[in-house]
Amino acid sequence: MLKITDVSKTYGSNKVKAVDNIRLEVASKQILGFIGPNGAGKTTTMKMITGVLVPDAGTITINGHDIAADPIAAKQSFGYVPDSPDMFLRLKGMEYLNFMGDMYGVSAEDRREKIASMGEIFEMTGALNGRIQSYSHGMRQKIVIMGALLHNPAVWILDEPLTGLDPRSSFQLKEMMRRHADAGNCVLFSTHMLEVAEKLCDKIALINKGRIVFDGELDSLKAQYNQLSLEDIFMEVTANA
Amino acid sequence: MRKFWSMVRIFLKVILGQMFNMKVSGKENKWAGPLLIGLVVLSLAPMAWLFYYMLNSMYAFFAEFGYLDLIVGVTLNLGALIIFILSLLTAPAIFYFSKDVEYILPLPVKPVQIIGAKFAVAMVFEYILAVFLVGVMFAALLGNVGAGMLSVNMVLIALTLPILPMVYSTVIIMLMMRFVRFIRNPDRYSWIIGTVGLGLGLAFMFVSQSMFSIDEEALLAMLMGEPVAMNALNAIFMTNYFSALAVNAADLGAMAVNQLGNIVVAAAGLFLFFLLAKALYFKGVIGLSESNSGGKKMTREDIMAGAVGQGVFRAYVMKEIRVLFRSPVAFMNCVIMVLFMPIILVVSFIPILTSGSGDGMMELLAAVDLTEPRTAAIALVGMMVLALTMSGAATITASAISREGRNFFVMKYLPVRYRTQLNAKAACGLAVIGVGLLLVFIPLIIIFRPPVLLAVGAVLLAVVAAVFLNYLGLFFDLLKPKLEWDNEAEAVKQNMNIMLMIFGGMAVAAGVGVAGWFWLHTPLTAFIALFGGGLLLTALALYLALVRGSAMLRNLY
Repeated sequence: MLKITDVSKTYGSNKVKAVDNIRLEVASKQILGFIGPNGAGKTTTMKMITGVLVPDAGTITINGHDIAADPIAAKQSFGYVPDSPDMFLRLKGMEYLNFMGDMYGVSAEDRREKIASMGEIFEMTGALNGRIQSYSHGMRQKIVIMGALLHNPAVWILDEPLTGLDPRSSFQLKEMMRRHADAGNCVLFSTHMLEVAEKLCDKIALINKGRIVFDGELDSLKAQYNQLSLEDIFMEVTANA
Repeated sequence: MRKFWSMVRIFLKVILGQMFNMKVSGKENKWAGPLLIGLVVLSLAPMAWLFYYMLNSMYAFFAEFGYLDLIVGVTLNLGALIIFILSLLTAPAIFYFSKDVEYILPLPVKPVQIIGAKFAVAMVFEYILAVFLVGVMFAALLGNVGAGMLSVNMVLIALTLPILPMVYSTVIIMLMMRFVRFIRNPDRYSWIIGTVGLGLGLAFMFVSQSMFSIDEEALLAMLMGEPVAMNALNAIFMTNYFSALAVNAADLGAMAVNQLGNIVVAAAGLFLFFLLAKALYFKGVIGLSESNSGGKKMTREDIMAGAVGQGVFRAYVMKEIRVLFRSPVAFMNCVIMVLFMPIILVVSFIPILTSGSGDGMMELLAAVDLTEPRTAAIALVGMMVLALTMSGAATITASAISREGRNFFVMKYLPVRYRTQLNAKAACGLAVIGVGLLLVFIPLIIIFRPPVLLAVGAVLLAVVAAVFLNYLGLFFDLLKPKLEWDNEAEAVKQNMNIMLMIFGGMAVAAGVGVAGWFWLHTPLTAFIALFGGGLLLTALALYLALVRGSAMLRNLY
């Protein structure tokens, strides 16, 4: 459902390679945990998938749509939670959700049902009349997640979505991710919480210094490293790379 | 003391960084900061000259009657009042809304050092103003009193003048922040100070216009009467009382005694400030940034009623308008500039129209015959010049991308064509300019009652002018958007695109005015030339903003 082929990206005049010829694929029913140290290229990759950044080389297709050739259809297929939830601060929660609903063409009936249900799940219903500016970090994260998932996209692209969430909301989001994947969709999410990745993900992609150093099922990764924990593998791979 | 100076340095760096950060497209432009300062100094020069000219003639006049000490006191008290008002408007940003105290408090520094550092930073800005005021004042005094003791007095007065006004204003702010919850919100405070500032500006304009009808004899009689206000101001700003006496002192001894009085009062003011600030400041500033989800609590029923859809373009325009109107700094700089221009025009005409001296003006207005070809042509050119100036001043589109800041990337992942998003931003600007133009156009229609065809022509020219500058502004902002900012004011106030837009609008307006005056002598030639030329330029601006702009947005990062 999400395919990245030979994608590279360099920054600045000194041509720093942020992402170096990477290949990734997330199939239907899969949750891919995208892990790596700070500055490894996770966010750059996610920004290229979502059309925020233009790759120097390579192709990205989302749900069969090339993000470069058919950007609107590709963007319509995913929901994106960026790494910082500090956006649309001067809008009220409800105004933001309505705006996102309008941008993605969500019918009034669907958005009522979706806002009501997600409002209850994330315990946000009462706060929707307040300005996002007045929300705590966790509440901002929740409203951004609600906005990203409002149009029921097939592909979820979540950049560190659990940061700042309270334990209940974090649990609910993980459950939602699992249910979404099981329903024939897919999720790509980046995280630094390796124990979460270990429990939740079907596949792991480990990126370091712009290169994918491992991409596959967790079991095969562990098999390569004598059944070490993901944390230990991460330490070893990123130290030696 | 080292900790104190370190804090002053850091607080100043943060604030100066916000004021003069001229980063464009993430890169520091080393010329932009000095250029902006140069422009500010250049724009202050005529004001300084006017101020000097007024004071010089006033001092000469009062010196002739032997009342120089009185007018020196008036000048100083006026300066103190200005500093008091400005500090009421600006000090909250330094003391309360800079959000740095909560980071400083856990450090091993004494509370009094924090208060002192904050006060010192606030004083730096008031000193810039004080040096300007006192400098011009003493330049004017130079011709009217002996130069001998002026320099010593000048330095001491410039040093002490801002102290008492600053003490009063900061203590008032601390009391309000401590006990009035309503103003503890930065946006709300900005709204209040913006409205008060505009009100004061209009009042000043109104009063200064009225002053034209007062002659010097009447002014002298007014000042010679029972000086209740003057006495009150002398009691409040006691440093000024001593300063005025020192300036007018007959000998060095009298001057020294009075300057000593000035310094003692200033020191007492500072002592009082620290005493009160220790009791008030920290209780007010702590917890200021705590989140508080406002608004009435929503229920499921509210969601059912509130979750309604609208078209993509309309929804985007509404979002733009909401964000623009809810951001105090953007509203004050982009919207109010357009909507207040007509009001300022009306206010500046009121004293002329209502006083006896306006009779000539009324006769002149009544004599305007818009059926006369030359006059009608001038009216058309005038309307286009006005629309160009107003559209340039709006700067809504010239800051549309910059105001997005680091969140501009949202524009790139929404499933909406860039062209649609850019058109929505332009529509937001056009809506505001449209209202501003209507506010000017309706009174003009009522006063001049132009022929219908001329009115329609004028509207068409205004529309073309507004569309042209709106899209051109959008293109300028796409060319070099200022996306790296911590404070929205940086995107709106310290943005070269905005300068370009304001001065560009004025330059085009001036060009149209000159061309119109010399070459466009009939309404038909004026309309054809301006409308045709305007359409061509608008087509170019549309191409640049939408076609080139979409490509620029795609590659923007």
